Amino acid sequence: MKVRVEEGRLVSIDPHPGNRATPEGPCLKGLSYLERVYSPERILHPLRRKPDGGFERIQWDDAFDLMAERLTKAKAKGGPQSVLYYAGSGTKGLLNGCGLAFWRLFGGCTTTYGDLCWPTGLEATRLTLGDNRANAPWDLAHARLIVMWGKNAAETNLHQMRFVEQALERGATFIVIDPRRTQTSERAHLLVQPKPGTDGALALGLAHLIIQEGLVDRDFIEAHVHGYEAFARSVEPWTPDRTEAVTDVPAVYIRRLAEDLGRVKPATICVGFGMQRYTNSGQTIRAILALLAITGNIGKPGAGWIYANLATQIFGSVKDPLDCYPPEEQGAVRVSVSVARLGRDMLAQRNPELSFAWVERGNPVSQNPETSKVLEAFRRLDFRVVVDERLTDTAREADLVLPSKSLFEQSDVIGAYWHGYLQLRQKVIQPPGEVKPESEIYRGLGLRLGMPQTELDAILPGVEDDAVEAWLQSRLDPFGITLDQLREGPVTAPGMEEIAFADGVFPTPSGKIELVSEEAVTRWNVDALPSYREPGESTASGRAKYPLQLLSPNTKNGIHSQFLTLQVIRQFEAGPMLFMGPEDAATRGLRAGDDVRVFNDRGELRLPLKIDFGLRAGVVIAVNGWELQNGGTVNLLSEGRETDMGHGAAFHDNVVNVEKSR
Amino acid sequence: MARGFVVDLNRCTGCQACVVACWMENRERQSLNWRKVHAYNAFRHPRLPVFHLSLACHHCERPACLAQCPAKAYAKDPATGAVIIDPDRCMGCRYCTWACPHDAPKFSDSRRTIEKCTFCLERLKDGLEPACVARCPVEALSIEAERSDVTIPMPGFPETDLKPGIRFVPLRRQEPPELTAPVPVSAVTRFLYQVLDVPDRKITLRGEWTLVIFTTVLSILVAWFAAAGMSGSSVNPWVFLASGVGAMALSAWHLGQPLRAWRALLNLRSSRLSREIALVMAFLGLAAIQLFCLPTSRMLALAATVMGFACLFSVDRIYWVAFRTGPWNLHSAHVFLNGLYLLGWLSSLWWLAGIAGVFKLLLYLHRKRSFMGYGLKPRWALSAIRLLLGFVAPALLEPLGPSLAACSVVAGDLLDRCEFYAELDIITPPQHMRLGMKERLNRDAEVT
Repeated sequence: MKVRVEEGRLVSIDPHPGNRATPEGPCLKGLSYLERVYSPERILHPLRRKPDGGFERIQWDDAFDLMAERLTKAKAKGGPQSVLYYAGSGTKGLLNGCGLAFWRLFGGCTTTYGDLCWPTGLEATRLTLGDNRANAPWDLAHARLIVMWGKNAAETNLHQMRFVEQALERGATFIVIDPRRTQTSERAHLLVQPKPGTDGALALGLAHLIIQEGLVDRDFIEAHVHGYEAFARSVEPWTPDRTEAVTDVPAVYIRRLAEDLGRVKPATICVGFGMQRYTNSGQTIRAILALLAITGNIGKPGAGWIYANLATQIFGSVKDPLDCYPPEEQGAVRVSVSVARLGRDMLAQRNPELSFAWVERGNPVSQNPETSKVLEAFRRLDFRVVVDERLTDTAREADLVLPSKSLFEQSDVIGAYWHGYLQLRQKVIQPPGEVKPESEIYRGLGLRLGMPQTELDAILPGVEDDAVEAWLQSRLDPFGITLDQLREGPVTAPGMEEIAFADGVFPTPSGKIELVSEEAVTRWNVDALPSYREPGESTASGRAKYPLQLLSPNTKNGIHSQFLTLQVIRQFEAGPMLFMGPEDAATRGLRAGDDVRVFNDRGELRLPLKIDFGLRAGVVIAVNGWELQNGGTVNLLSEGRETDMGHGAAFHDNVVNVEKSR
Repeated sequence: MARGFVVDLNRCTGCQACVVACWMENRERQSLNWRKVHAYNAFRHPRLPVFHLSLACHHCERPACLAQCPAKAYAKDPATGAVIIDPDRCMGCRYCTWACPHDAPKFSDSRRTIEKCTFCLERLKDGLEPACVARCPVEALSIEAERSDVTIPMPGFPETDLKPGIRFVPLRRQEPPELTAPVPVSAVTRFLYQVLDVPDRKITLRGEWTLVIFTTVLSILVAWFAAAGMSGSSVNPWVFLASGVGAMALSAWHLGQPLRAWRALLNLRSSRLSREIALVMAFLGLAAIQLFCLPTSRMLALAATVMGFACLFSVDRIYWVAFRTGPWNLHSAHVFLNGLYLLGWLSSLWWLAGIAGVFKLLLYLHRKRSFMGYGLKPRWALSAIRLLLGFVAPALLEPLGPSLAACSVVAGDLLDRCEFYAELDIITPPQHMRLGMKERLNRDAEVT
């Protein structure tokens, strides 16, 4: 985006026409930075916890002294690995790499593996296609069939809706698969509403029909697909009747969908991140991908798989899902805490136990599964440092809170995960108050800890703006990109293709699209073929302890716990609430607006009830992002549990009951 | 060239970026949102589609706000067609918020004047699009160089003769998506009115009680003056004048900017409110001259009486802008009728009291019946008291003296007037949407 600054103050935010994916305008959240940067909630100087539980302002010198003292103590007692370094994905950029580099210099630390967001889908895609690449966003306009599976783009990928609309204007068919009726499905011709977590069964049932009806692309399979025959045999039992029994999608619609997928070309399937947050979802994603493989919808204009495009992730640590996994041999940095099981794993660490935590760019208390365990683990530590813009639930647990920069206060280079542009996020305003960018915090702390200046210089940029830019340029040099180019506008990442896999080269062991994957077996201990198993905690077959599946999707009004506290956002999203269909509300004698208690064995939430006529019975919704301080996070109810592959978090394996609050 | 907005219902996702874009552009002169995104069927009734209307001001060719503003605070930019308010000229009477069926003028509680969309006039002059259009992420909002007169029936958009500068690109499909697991309509019915009937009335009795007092006092003064004139006696000039001035002061006090009350007389040409104020002043002025200077002039008394009834008539004209007023805006709490009815009782003109009374009674019963039809709660006890005080008690009290009977009439009419204000409403886009939804669902129910 383009921002306008007058007299050192941000005054407006506009779209940058150089980004073909988002040329018309930033989303609501992008525009709301105008408030966020100057929000009275922003922390402008270090805060230390007082004995009475409140916070008091302290000087940076005192903050550095305090941290150095506590770190030295922790290191002396349990070694460097008694320090947990937890970094979330609140802000992106090359400079984020400074954090781990610093902790290596410290002598090591303990850190996390896995990711809360998208790793299951990334891994399923990598196993199948060999790489996470996708057609350029605007290519979607060429699709004749768009299937948006478990994705509500109108809220979570707004700019994609422009290309959906362009395809619709050209007469394309649009089908949404989602247990909820959403703003996205409003544009669809058909909304397929499976029971939550049964999408894998639906995909296998569709494959069964496509194969049985002879709608497969023989030539494409011959040339590019590995394991087709075995896959075809494995879906034989998935008759429409059985698929209907499992998914609750009437067979007539399964047939119609199979017909569309088999006959309408080119077809693109866009998959959301939400659907890969079940314990069975890696296999689900592989099953859905198989539909494109057998119909020859990969590597062609208007055809393909849009999940995540890692073309811009060229700078290392997040380049590939493999880098999110624990290494085979642990080094100075102990990668031993799963983000999905953060609380439980923190408590389970031995030799050494954890005694100190450093949290930046994240809010694990409200956003990681199983809030009660996360709180327990944090409270058991000796000392906690949280770097954040405002007093999040996690910052409220800290002994020391350090202010963090906004995205306009230090230059950085950012990638993306939908489009293929590298972009320069220029420093346009001075940090307010005593805010220091993380790179300067690390420098100050390093000096206080007695780290040699030369070694700090080797990993951290200098303090001056020029020095930061020089540091960034040195990271861009290997790719032949200059900051000057980026100053002009977005630059297409090297290797970004208009049509992914157009050359038919798939970097898998077999060199083909793998429906049978040996690595799936060896690495994740799942079937070599995509298969369906009911999620571990699910109402799908009625065996669960509680009757309602709780989904905790994102809202357009926030990105997890970011943005939701701004006034400009609050006018559209008043606070946390529970959405329930009329059938479930009627059986419980509830009325719209009632205060209800949502509960399971892990905890409870009290929320106002919103009746949603678009919700099928057995499913309730509470968006994630609201914190304990707003009336409760949905993660009071979720369990710390990994997905079947990629070390993701199975947020949606979550059954609850609801009753009227008393 | 007058320009106009275009809203594409297929593209709009209801993301609200336009609202924030407007704030970003205008936040220094904006204390509340000028643009609003209205959701049709936000609760996702399985028989109806969900869509959004992003609306601000349509910069009408014949703007009701401009025509009805008594203070001449509005102007129309000839180059762009933009309807602009000058807050320094606004006296905060809020009459434009009643006159505009599109909810474009907004009363700012903090600034005590009206604010509204400016069409981003400065941007237009610089060759830029309005902020909302320029920053719409999905190209749902645009502006056309020339307005087209094509309008389509649209829930949320009452049809008027104001020639609004907006065009809608309708949904390609008027139906919701085909759902594989629709919630049964029978399950929806039970909750429908819980989610559909959201109170957001523009006019409330609590907000407008000063107007109830003002209009009631006015009808009493007119009837009292007329009755005295007919009987050859005269009213107490001090009481009369004090009541008149007091009522005027009270009505000025409810303005956002009471010190600008004098501006009320600036738009006699087209504002009903201006005319009302002028006629009230003319009546009080003529009556005062007659009472204080020429107490014997029957001609002047007659002229003042005629002026009085003209002014009551003009009071009733104000409410033409309200919604569901019925033909000719006739209702039982009409101050003109109240004046005649009271005059009948005060002057023992039984034919007048009889005709006006029967007429009022029929209108009252009719109004109750029709408002119940709109789903408004009947208040039986209140109605009984109103009928007793207004129609039964005066007949019983009349033998004890006409003034007692008149008091009872006034009390009855005051109740009626309070009910009238409580029931009075102005159509707004969300209300129009809700009515449209109800109508479509009722139609569907009849078909099935």
